[in-house]
Amino acid sequence: MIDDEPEPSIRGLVLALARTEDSAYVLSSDLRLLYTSKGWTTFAENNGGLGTLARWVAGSPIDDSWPPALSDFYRSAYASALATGERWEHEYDCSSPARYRKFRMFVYPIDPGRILVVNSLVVEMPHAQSDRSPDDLYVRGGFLTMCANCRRTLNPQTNGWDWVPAYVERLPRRTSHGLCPACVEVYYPLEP
Amino acid sequence: MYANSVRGRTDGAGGGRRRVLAVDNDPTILLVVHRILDSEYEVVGMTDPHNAIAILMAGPRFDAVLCDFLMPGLSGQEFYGKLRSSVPSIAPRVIFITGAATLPDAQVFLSSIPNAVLEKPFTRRALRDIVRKVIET
Repeated sequence: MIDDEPEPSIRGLVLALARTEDSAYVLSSDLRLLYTSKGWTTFAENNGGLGTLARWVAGSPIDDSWPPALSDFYRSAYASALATGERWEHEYDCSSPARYRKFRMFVYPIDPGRILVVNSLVVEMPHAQSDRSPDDLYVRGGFLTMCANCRRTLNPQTNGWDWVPAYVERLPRRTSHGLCPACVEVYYPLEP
Repeated sequence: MYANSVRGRTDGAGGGRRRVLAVDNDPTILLVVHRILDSEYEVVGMTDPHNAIAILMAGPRFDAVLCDFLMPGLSGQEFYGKLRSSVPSIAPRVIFITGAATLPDAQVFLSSIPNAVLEKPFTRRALRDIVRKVIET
């Protein structure tokens, strides 16, 4: 978390961010960083980026994190989400030399004129192909838990919510529908 | 938070407010139900359906029961069957909550009973309306 004095209307969301293992953050309407999640820091720790965290303070423009060639693409998408009030989703690669990683970005427009961005793991594996079934990772006690809203699946090992294409394409019989922290706070915030 | 059960805010006198029991293995669903209904009702949330049946059998009156249909340990159909045999008076007050793409056998069961069904993700208004309708029946 960058700023510990959230506005009352998003206090619940900011508290949820402090607990979630998803790499997530809240932006102002001019795309400056306001709050980050616990998972944001964890991701940096696990990927050698801890030293760069100090530059990400409240007010930092998020477009500094984008490759210049993609800046217009993301600016346009975020502006569209704010204008339409509709959640925007997008998949992207974020691989390291050793590991292949794909993420799905969920961009939620939230009041008052803020943007919640949640980066959800789709797949991570060594560049050599993995043969593991997703069930090995996500099924516990015969059930998997999927967010009824965004359809991400709870990863019991990380407590993050991953985008699992196989489950989105074909819902397993024993799927328990819950809600991920982001959807709870965006769609069911505490009423004033 | 909602590890096994939670009791909503009461009116201090212990009476007056209608009572809703919410049963779902996912505590976040219970959190959301609590957020939406707590201003109108006393909400009790339970993640274990066996414990929920024990509570209902023990006698505290609930005016409506929200029950997830697919839960580890006890399905909604089994929950309903146990309730009908042990506390039949509450069975008509059960509102089933289902996930998207409900399984065909669940659809067959749900269409065979008169109980209300609410699909996740639900809106605040849909939840409030369906609970109010069951309580006022």
